[in-house]
Amino acid sequence: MIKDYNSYGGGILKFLHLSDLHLGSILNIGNIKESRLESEAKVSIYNSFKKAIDIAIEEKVDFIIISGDIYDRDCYFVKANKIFIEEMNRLMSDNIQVFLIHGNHDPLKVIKNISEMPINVHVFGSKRGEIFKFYGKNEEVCNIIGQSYENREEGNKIYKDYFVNSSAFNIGILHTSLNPGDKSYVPSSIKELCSISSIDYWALGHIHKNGVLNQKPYIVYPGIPQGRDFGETGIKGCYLVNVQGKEVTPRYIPLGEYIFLEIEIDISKNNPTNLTELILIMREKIKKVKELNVGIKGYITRFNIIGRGEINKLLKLDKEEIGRSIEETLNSEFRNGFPLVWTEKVEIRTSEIIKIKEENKLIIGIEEEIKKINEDEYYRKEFLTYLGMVYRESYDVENEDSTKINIETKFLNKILNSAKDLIIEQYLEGEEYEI
Amino acid sequence: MKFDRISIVDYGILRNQILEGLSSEINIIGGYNRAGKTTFKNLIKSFGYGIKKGEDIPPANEEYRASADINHQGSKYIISLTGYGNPKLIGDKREIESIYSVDYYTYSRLFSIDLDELKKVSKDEEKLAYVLLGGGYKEIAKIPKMIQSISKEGDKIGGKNGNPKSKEFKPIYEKIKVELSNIEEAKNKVKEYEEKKESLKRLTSREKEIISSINEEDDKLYLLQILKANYGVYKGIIDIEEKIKEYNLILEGFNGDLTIDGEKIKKEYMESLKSIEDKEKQYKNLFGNDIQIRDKLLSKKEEITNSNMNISGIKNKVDNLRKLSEEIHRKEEEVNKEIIGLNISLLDNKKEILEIKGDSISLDNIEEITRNYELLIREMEVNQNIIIETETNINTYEKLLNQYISTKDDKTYIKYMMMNALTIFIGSIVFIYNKTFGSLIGVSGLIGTLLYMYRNTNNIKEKNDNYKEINEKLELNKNKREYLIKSQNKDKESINYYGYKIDEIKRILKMSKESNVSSIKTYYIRINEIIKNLYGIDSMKENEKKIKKEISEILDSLYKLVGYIQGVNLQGDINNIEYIFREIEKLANNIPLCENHKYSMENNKNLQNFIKEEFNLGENDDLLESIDNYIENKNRYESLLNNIKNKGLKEEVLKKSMENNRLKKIFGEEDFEFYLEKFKNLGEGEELDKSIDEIEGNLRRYNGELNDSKREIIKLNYRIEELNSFSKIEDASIKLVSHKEEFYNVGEKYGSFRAANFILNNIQKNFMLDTKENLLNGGSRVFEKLTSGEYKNIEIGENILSSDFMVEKKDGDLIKSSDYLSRGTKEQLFLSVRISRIEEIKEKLPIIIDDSFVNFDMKTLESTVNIINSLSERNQIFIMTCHKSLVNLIAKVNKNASYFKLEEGNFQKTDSFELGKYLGGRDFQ
Repeated sequence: MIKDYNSYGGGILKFLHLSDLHLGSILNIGNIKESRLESEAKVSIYNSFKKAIDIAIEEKVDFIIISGDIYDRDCYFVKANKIFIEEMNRLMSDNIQVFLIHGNHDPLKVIKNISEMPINVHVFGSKRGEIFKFYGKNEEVCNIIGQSYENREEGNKIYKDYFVNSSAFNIGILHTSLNPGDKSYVPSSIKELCSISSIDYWALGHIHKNGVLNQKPYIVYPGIPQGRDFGETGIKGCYLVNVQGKEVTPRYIPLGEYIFLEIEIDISKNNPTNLTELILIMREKIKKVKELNVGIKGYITRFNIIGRGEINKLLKLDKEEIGRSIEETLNSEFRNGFPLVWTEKVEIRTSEIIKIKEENKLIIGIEEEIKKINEDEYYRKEFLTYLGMVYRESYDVENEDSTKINIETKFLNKILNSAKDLIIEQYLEGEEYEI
Repeated sequence: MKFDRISIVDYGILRNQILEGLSSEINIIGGYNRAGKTTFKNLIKSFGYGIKKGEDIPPANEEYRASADINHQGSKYIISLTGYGNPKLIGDKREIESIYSVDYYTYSRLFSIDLDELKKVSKDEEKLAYVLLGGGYKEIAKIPKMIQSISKEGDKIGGKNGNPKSKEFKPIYEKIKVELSNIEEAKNKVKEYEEKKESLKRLTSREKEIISSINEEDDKLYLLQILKANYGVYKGIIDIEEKIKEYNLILEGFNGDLTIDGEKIKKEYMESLKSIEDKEKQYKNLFGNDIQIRDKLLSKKEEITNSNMNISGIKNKVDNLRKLSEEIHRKEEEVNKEIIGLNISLLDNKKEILEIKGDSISLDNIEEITRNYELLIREMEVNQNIIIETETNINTYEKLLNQYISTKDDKTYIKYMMMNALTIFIGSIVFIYNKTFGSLIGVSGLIGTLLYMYRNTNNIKEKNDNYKEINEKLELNKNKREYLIKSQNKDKESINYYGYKIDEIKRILKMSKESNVSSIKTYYIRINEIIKNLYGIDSMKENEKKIKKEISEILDSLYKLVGYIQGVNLQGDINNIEYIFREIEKLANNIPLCENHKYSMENNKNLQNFIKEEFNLGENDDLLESIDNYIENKNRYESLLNNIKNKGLKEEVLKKSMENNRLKKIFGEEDFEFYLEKFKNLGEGEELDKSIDEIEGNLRRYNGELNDSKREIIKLNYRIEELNSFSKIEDASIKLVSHKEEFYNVGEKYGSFRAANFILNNIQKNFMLDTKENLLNGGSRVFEKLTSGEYKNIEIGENILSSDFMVEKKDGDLIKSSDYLSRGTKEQLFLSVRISRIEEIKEKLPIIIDDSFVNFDMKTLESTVNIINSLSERNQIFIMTCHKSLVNLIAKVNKNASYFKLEEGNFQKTDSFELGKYLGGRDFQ
């Protein structure tokens, strides 16, 4: 497909690369009972997207690329679609074109015929790679090639067909996990993408963490514009890309209003002896975070208190309750400030100081077991089966079952560490703290 | 580690002893019971772990103190033991643990082998395990309990299977389900939204199609309706064209004069003919064919009219005459009746009545005379009556006076008295019979007598008074009678006078003499009235005569007039006046008819002349036909002209109709011919209506569909808007996240327990496998040797922690429990396992064997010694024994062994022979 656009004025080509908007989803703030956050949780995703559109208009970009997953789920689609179209109309007023593909969250099969996009929005089809040509003063400036997902999974290396017979700046849009073994989300690798010689800029989507993975050609993940939980921590945004000739200058633009942040405090390093000291350490961490001043509305933080230390004797009396109490203390102090720093949870996972003999069969056994579970896939399956019906190995986080507990690495490590502590605790019952 | 030298200062029974020349392989401590072998065994253990309080060690004299020179991995160390303190490595910073790396428990159970230990462990599972599984067992020994405890805690959270629908998971699971269901509902709504959107798209597209179809049909309909509406006009034009052609043929020769009003002339002529016909008919009915009557009548028109007008006057006159005659007759009858009633003799002679001079006497005079006369008569009659009454009174009074004088009333008196006397008498008689009754009768008679006598006396007095009064009245009446007689005489004279007068009046009035006086006055009035009436009748008769004459004259003239017209001679008859009146009236009434008859004839004639002149006709031409021809031609010509005009108008109308914007929009700028062509092709009547109906039907259907579609679109848009604002999913998602976090928290807790169990189970399993592979393989080898190949394999029991073993005999039989083995074999089994275990332990610590082989036969003992000898290559071995054979056997197999005699706590280095000798008779069975 060839389209002729005349908005391009020559000189620098400027576009905004967005991906994984996941419109319709909300911030997973869980049990946070903070009214400010509760209402914000519903709008932050939209706001970050609107901010991207503001920037596009402000920066007078030539076009916007969205590399899939515009909508989070079909069940959220209605409202999300409404807002998306509103924003697209806003872009249309400024004659900004939008080139988008649909990803695994919003495959064409689900979305098509439902959303009637304004004329400035160009949606790539799912049958084959399509090309939009971008002209300026009758000169071919840019070619944009892409292909949407038809279904929730795309096991083909669709980028193999991304061929553009043009010396202009060529952009390939692809929604992929950039994992050669991943048969669900376009198996690919940096090497394979680099082998498609006509593409100068790979506008990728699917991975929620941003990054410029390669420079010749550019392989870029803008990540999600707004993190939604502690799985999407840190500053989130998009790339504003300037192109002069074939020279690419991507600039990361933060969009998220809220940042999810996990802070780890190792008591074996800080060695607090009482709660006041512990809270003091946490407060200092928060202050440092606030000082960063990255122009956001707030942080949702989770403290992980780990390590072995004297204070465990106190903490182990009731880790949950003490955790909650620290949360309240911190939140009462930082809830009204700007930016807001809301301590979502204080997770205490500290242990007693113990001496462990190297040859202790139990400890060796535990370590060996943990290692085996982590490294041996079959053994892990056996382990997960043993764990119980409620658990499910998260082979695909995109298709989670809410009535099951997905065992992803982090969670697995958590329970294995807890199990280790539990065994040691049990073992030590009535014994000296020595193994 | 190996002991080179041991120095004992104070250790229970052992004091100030130095053991030098210790073999790095086997050291035999021979001695009898209570020599201090067990204390020495404890000492060896104490060098590694110190003296444990509560252990069965003889008390120190002052303080436990001992030291040992050891060789550990090629280095020399001294272990110093003082009191209960930890043993110390003299001259080295390292702790004793760096050498004694196994724990005290393991060391004391594994490296220290005595019979009691073997006996005990065979029944003591846990300790057996300690021994058999040796180092590391402690770490895993708690595993079953830990598993139990952790399982229990874990089960509380998630049951045995971690079913999300159980225990602590359950409420959260249910909450999640609710939110999932809410999300599902939302998804359905999205599905619905998608469907609605799709439907909307479809409907909108369909709506466009319908609108397009409607427009198309509407255009068709519009054209057809315009054509239909104007079809009449079009048809008119076509018809006119036909007619024009036709008229042009017919009207050849018509001069085109349109000024004559043929219709009017025809109408007038027709009316004239009709009028003549009517009038002729009427005339003939009345007068036949004689036309002269009409002319005679019209010549006497005035006279007839006047006569007719006077008829009512004449009729009145005749009527009045009749009434006058009747009045005269009635009056005469009335007068006659009066006369008869008054004086019948006068009836036949009315002249006499007229001769009475009634006016010579006045009515007043008559009234006076008759009144006076009648008064006198009545007075005389009254007086006469009074006289008679007075004389009656005189007679009465005279009789009364006579009675008073001549008689008294004695008869009544006597009669009464007699009655009384009789009563008294009867009373006397009765008294005789009945005194009471008789007395009563007698007394009543007496009372009656007395009462009568009293009354009689009063009557006599009254009679005398009455006599006097009557006499006076008698006298008075006599006087009155005399006066009245005198008055009577006087009145008779007056009566005579007036009698005369009355007679005179009667005569004048020709009354009979016998007539009553009182009737004179009435007579007088009535006769005067009769006289007056008689004069009136005469006058009326005169008038009657006069009228009769007048009527007769009029009638004569009328008869004469009628006779003239009818051509006959008629005579008048007053009694048959109705006839002549009718004739006159008839003639008068026929005047207009005659006039009209005459006029019609004349008018028709004039009209005929006019027509002939107007249409230029000859005498013999048929007037009506000629008029009709003219009218027809004129009409045709006019029609032709009108048609030509109409055609133009209609064409103009049609052009105007077709010149509308809508048609222009549909067909563009088309000329009139284009539309005429449309008309030409247009069906007619039913066919056209059918086409229109069909289009209208289509339009109705399309409009219906459009309305339905619009309604549906409104509904869809409303629903889509509703679905658009559906926000339940966000709330559900927030809740779901919250529940999931809760779920994960429980899951993490439960997972930790389950993971711990998994790990523990596997550690235990691995341990068991490891034990089987490493420990038991070695053990099997030892056991095979000890039993001289009788048994070839030791296998772990189903539960190693239940500390039983299965053994396989050389023929392959599997003995599933050590309980089925003989005591000696069982001890060999456990010894094999221990040795294997010791071999497995990396740290080569000294082994202490305290006379553990008493239950072994010699063959087994030999085998055992061989095995120990092999073992002594890596571990220094201390054997405590009181058995010579053991010493000899060891001496046989190990040349480097050292021998110590222990006697009452004193050690003495010796050789095998000496020691054997010392132990002498004590030997194995």
